[in-house]
Order: sequence, then structure tokens, then C-alpha cells
Amino acid sequence: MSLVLTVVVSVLIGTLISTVLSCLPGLHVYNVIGLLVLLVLTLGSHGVTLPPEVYLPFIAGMIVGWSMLNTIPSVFLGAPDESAIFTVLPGQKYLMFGRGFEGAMITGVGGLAGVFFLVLVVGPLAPHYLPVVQQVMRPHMHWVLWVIITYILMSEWPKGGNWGPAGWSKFFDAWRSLLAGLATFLLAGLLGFILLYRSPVSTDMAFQNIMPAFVGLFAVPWCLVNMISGVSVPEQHVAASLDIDGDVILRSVGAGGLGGGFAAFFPVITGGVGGLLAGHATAQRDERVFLMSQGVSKLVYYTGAFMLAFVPGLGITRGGGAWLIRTLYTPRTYYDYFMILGAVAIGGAAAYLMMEPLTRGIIWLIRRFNYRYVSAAALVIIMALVYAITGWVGIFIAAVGTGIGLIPVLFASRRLNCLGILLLPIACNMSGVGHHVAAFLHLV
Amino acid sequence: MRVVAMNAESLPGQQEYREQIICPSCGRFVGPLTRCPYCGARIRKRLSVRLFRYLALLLATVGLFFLYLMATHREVPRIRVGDIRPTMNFAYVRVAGLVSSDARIYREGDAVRSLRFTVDDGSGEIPVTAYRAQARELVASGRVPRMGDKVEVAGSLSVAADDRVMMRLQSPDQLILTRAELPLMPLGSVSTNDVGRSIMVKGVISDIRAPRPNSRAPWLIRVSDSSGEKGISFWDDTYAEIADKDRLVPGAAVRARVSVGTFRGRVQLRLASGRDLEFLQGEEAAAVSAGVRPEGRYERTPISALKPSMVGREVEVSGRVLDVRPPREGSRAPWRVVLEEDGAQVMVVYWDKVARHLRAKRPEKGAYLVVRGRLAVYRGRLQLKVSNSRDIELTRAPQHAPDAGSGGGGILPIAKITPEMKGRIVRVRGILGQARSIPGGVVYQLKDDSGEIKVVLWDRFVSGEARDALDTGRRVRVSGKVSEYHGQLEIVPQGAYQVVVEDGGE
Repeated sequence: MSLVLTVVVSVLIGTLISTVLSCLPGLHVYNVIGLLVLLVLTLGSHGVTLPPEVYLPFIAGMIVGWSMLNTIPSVFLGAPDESAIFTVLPGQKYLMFGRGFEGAMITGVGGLAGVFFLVLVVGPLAPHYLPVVQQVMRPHMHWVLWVIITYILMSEWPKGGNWGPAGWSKFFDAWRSLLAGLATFLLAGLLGFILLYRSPVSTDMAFQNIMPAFVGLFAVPWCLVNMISGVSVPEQHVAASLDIDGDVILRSVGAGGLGGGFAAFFPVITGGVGGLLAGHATAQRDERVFLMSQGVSKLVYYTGAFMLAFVPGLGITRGGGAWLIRTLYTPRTYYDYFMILGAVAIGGAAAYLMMEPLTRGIIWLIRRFNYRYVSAAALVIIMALVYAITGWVGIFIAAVGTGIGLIPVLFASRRLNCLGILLLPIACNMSGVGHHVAAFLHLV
Repeated sequence: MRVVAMNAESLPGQQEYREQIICPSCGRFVGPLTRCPYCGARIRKRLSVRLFRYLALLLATVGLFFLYLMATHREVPRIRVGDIRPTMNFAYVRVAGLVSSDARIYREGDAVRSLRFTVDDGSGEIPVTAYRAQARELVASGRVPRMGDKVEVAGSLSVAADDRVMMRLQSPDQLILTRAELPLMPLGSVSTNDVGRSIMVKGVISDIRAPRPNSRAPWLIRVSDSSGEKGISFWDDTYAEIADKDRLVPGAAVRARVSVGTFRGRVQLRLASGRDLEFLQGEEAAAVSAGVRPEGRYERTPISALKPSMVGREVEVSGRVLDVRPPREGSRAPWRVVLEEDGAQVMVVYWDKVARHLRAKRPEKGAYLVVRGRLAVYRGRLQLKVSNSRDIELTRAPQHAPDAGSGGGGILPIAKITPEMKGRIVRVRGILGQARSIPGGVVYQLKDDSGEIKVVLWDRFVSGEARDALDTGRRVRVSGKVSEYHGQLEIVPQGAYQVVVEDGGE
């Protein structure tokens, strides 16, 4: 089989598998890539070596497909990953009006636009300009992180306090979600310090030591809330057209590309933060633009961060996908870069073509089955995955993460605060005080 | 206000929960919230949701507390380098072993950017890197690992493809360092068999070669003891760490902790940190200096005792310069110096490559020299061939030359510098005047009580950075070659170390 054909087949298979993964609420593509890396390493130790032209496009296909198609459970099953939390509110509005199909497809179009943005705009420019940008930004990363943390915490203010009798009751009503947000951020940050300096996960599986915490913080709470509270979903209308035009697409690419690109380029910042910053910076009021820009942002974040690992001369690793493949392969030349650009384009096209049938399939599914069972099944799969990789210790970490992840869900604050698990320890480390904090906590 | 009511037709299995997730007042979807975010109405929940909220808080805090206890009571696992596998990426582990190379310190300007050393635990080697704050703390506390030291270090692993493994030191406290007891070795006994070892040496500095500005060459000092001589090299950042740079002069007795390496096939000692160079004082310095002959292998011989039978032997002679004959322009002939001692004479010869480095030691009529070289015969006459500028030492300048020499001697009043002193090195002290830029350098006016003179700082000798400390009004000590330009005398220092600021300005 020729090399090109190998790449095309690998990326298509990867995208196809991502369609199944993306329909399971809470299951993150990085969890599955982690397993895949383990598989490739195990095969390698038994003398079976897979060429990078097989597993790199495969992983690229999975990431592109998942970052586009994961919109579907976000809209219909209410179980988003942290980068989709902004999609959920407008998405659920569409869902409640019976226009979930349209909402999902608009976000999907955003994803497609994101692929165009990455391949046609970022692709040719990145090797020339990003190394310079990185060189300029490197000494400033730590304070940028602190500014973002401050922004995340402060932008939650004010909330509530409009109802009820004056006095303590109103005061607590106003401060409840804000305090919940701060508590979430600090508890997640403490969890991050523990996992960074003294992770109880076995050293043999340390490459996945943050995974149980992420599952607990983001995936499990949504599955649990879905199972316990339930959402009443009205009949869905499958529209023949989408209420968008060129202007909406351009504005969405501008906002989403900015947010997703920022998140992909800066360390520790994720798509959710990028989406928040982009949404606020561009002050989008049109829900269509909002939905589509979040689709762009999510795809640009996940796929863009993965792509950055392949940009010749840049030498940075961003996002879980890139960190995972780093243990398998070190990209060096334009050969790798062009292969990934091609894989992203093909994977993006295939994923978008599957968007419509998959959305129809999910609508059909929720008509016939109580989707609490889907959430329960997803929860079982996720926890099985955690146990398989990290054992009972991982389950314990996931349980602690779940407790923290449920606070924002149940106290109506932002789930984004859970990112304190990375933001706080990394920002402290980049500022040169991380080891002092760790020493204060008796972790070193 | 338009109220968006829920579609009455709900999906299977969800009908019984409608009243708990829909606001009874405005009909909007509120999910698990207990107060409608749109109209503020309270929403009655089943016990499970409310209970769940407090259970979550309990789970988060208690769980985190136990996880914290678990983590703090867990020993950081100790591993063998040879056992590291790709799936151990990000693992926080400990390794213990010997430092197999001196730590290299990387700087950004004056600030330490990172520090890197390699640990060998017998099963393999792993590079350990400390960045910024951690590296600065290690350098500031003098805990920079050296080759041969025993270390136990904890940090997070980075395992990339192609077996590229490294450890990142997260906390300086997690580097337990046991300094190796280094053997004190006579310089003459250090050989290529010792390459890779860390040793301690003592001796007297016989020569110092500073790198030229903007050059990437290292510093090189020659150190001698009674057994022989060796060169010690170090980089500019190491030089910056030397506490008492003023004492780094020929004749100073030093003790140094060095690693043995080779350069162009010859043994060279490497100084990794300025802290590893110690200037000896008192009795210890005297003991080191006693009996040190800078070139131990040369045989001290009176000129009158030189005989044709000694041709091929390396000898050391001393005497007064009777004549200096430079080669003709464009000629490949050597410089020839006639040296006289007690009425006996010998011709000393050396080529341009030696002459170029003589600087202050350049022989002049009337000067007294010590010369080391190999005895040879040319056209039937004995001559002493000198192959290194270090082998010519000026022991006494000609009578008219006051206190010349870059290494020692007193301070000369500026007014006493005369045109006859052109080409000699003088040392003066004075107050800096205004600076004036010229192509390739800067000219300062230097003034003392007796007069003033121009000091020319060429970029190739004294870099712009080194000149930063030189401001108008500062009191400086300057050594340099006397030269003349457009009829005016000037002093030209040959390196930044020849311009020393003595106070904070006037």
C-alpha cells in the first residue's frame, strides 16, 4: 500500500472511530488516545513496530473528528467537555425549541470553518511566524497566565443577589456562586499540586496521572447530573436549511479562531478559556455567531494544539494529544507537518460529512431510549477506562475530582473553575514560586 | 415578556421530573438549580438533588484531605535510570548516583536561566535540569553539582520518543548533594588517564589569557606547582563568579577544584564555577609558592655554561638584553635577542607567533629577562629557540622604564609617561573624563594630579558591556600599552581586566 493511501486510510479510520466516541457523553478523546499510545508501546515492546504514517494520521483523524462531532452529545445529551460549556446554554436553548438539529449543525459548520482556517491560514503561516511569536512571548507566559486566572475568577462577578429579602439572605445569594467558583478553583488547584508533586498513580502509568482527575472534574459530574436530575427534551425538528450566511461564518471564524488559537498556543489554557475570552472580547450577541464561533474555537483548540507539535522550528507541545504522541514520536521535518495538515483536512471533511447522519441518529436514539441509560453506560465505560489504566488509586482520584467538579454544577458557577487543577500549579511554577507552595503544603 | 414554555410532549422516562427542572413560575428550563435564574422563583427539588449538593462538597473536601494525607505520607519512589519506560513520562521519582559531568549553568544576561547536570546510577545516565528559580537557588546556595559528587535527586520525568529522557528538578530542596572528597593531585602527574575525573590542584598562576571581547574563547590560566604546569580553562560566566577578581594575577597561589579533559589532544583542566577557585593566603600560599619553578622541566643554566653538547636540551637562562633585532618587513625570519650574563652571550630567537603575545614583556635593550627554550645550533652558533611567549619573563625593565608590566609594579604618575615608553605597558590611576566615541572604540581622558592622558578602549579589547561601569568622574586604575597618535601619547588597555573601577564616582 502506498504511503499516501496508508495515511488516507488511517485518517479515515481514526475519524470513523471518533464518531462512536463523540456520541458517548463524557468520554474524552484523550482518554482513548492514551490507551492507543499504551497499545503502540506494548506492541513495540513485543517487536511489532507501527510506522508513524499509520498512527499519527489515525490520531489526527480522531482528534479532528471528535472535536467536531462531540458537539452532538453537548447539545442533545448535555454532557460537554470543559471546552463546550459555552455551547451548552445556547445549544440547550435550541434543543428546547425543538431545533437541536440546527444548533448542532451550526456548530458543526463552525468546526468545518475551523478546519479551513487551520489548513489554509494557520498552516502556511505557522512555520514562519509562530517561532518568532513564541520567542517573544516566552518570558511573558507566567504573567499572562495570572491575568487569565484573574479574569476567569472576576468575570463571574456579579451573579445573583437580585431576589429575596434584603440582608444576609440576599448577600449569600449573591456570593454563593462566586464563593463556589473560588472554592472550586482552589480545591482543584490543590488537587493539581498533589498530582504534580506526589501523584499516587503508579509511576509506570504516570503519563496518564492527570487523566482520572479530569474524568472526575468534567465527565462524571455531567453524567451524574444527567442521571439524577434529568432533562425533558421536546420533539426535535430536522431542518432542511441553516439560518446562517457568509457574514455569520466570517464573524464566527474571527472570534472562534482567536479564542481557540489563543488557547492552543498558550500553555495550560484550554478551549473553554479560549472560548470565554473570545466570546467576551468580540462581544458576540448573535446566538448563531456564538454557537458557530464555539464550534470554530473548539476545533481550532484541539486540532490546532495537536498541529503545533508538528510545526517545524517551533518546538512546543500543547494539549493532551500532543503530549501523548510525544512519547511515541518526535516530529522534525516538513514531511511530518504536511502529513498532519493533509490528515486534518481529510479528517475534517469526513467528520463534517458524518455530522448530519450522526445528528439524525442521536435524535432517533433519544426518541426511543431514556438517555439516562446512555449517560449511565458512558459513566461505566469511563470508570472502567480509569480503572484499567490507573487502578483503584485512579478511581479514588476521580471520586475526589467528581466532588470538586460537582460544586460548580450544583451551585451554579462556572465549570471552567475546575481548570484550577492545571492553571494554579503551572502558573505558580512558571512564576518560580511553585516549589515554595509545594514546600508549604509539605509535598516536597 | 414572552415566556418560553416547554413542549408538553416529553421524551420517554422523563415526564415525572418535569416539575423539578422547569420553573413553575416562568416555565423555563432550570436544570438542577434551586432558584430560577430568569425570574428568581424557588424551585422545589427532590431530596436527591439537594442532598447531592452537600454530598459533593463533603466528597470534595474530605476526599481531597485524604488524598493529601496519602500524598504527603508517600515516599517519592526511587527508580533506576535503566528501568525508565515511555509510560513513565511525568512520573515524580527519585534517582541516586554519581554526577558524571560538571553542572553547566545557562544564563540570560546576568540571570541564571537553567542548570543542567548528568547523574549516573550504574544502570544508565539521566540529565537533570533545574530551571530559573530552582537553578538560581542552587547557584546562590553554592549547591551546584560537580563531577564525582554523590546526589539523590527527585523530580518529574520527561520521556520523549527516541529515548530522550530527562528529569526536571522541581524543588532545590530535593537535591541531596554529598560533595566528593577529591584527591589533591600534583599538576605534573595529571595525564590523559585522568580524563573525566574531578580533582583538586594547587599552584601558582604563571600566565592569564583573557578572551577578547565578543570572542567565544574561554579564559585560560596557567598554573604551576613543583611537579609541572597545566592550563585551567573556564568561561566568562565562571569568571564572573570569581569573588576576588583583583587577585587573579600572575604569581597568585590558588587551589582549584577542576575536572580533567582534553583540548586538541592535550590535557586541560576545566573550572566549572568561580567558587571552585580559591586564592590561598599566608603560610599555605607560601608553601605552594615555595619551590615552584613555573617551568619545572627546564634546566637552569648560566649562559657561560651553555655548550654545543647541550643542543636539544631545554634550558632556562637569564641575563640583560644587549640587542633586539626584529625581522625585516615581510620576512619570515625570527626575532633575535642577544642576552648577556657575566660577559657571556647567547642569541635568543623566536618567531612572530611568539612576539605577538609578548606585549608588556617585549624585550628591549637594557631589560633583564628569564628565557626558557631549547638549545639549538644555527650556522655554527648556539641559539636558544623560544616557542611560547610564556617562556620569556621580564624580571627588570630598562632603567628608563618606570614600573612597567601588566602583572605587578606600582602606579606611574601620568606626567612621567614619555614618548620613549611607547610600546611598554604602564599602570596609572586617575579620574575619568568625558568619553568620546571613535570608530571601533571609545576614548576617555584620564587625569591625575600630575597631568592627563588619553585612554583608548578598542571594542575588540574592551567590549561595550565592560565599559558600562565607566562613567565620567570615576576613579580607575588602568594598565595598558603606551602608544602615540597624531603626536599625542595614549594608553591602550589590552583587555577589560586592565581597567579597574576603584570607587563609586566623584
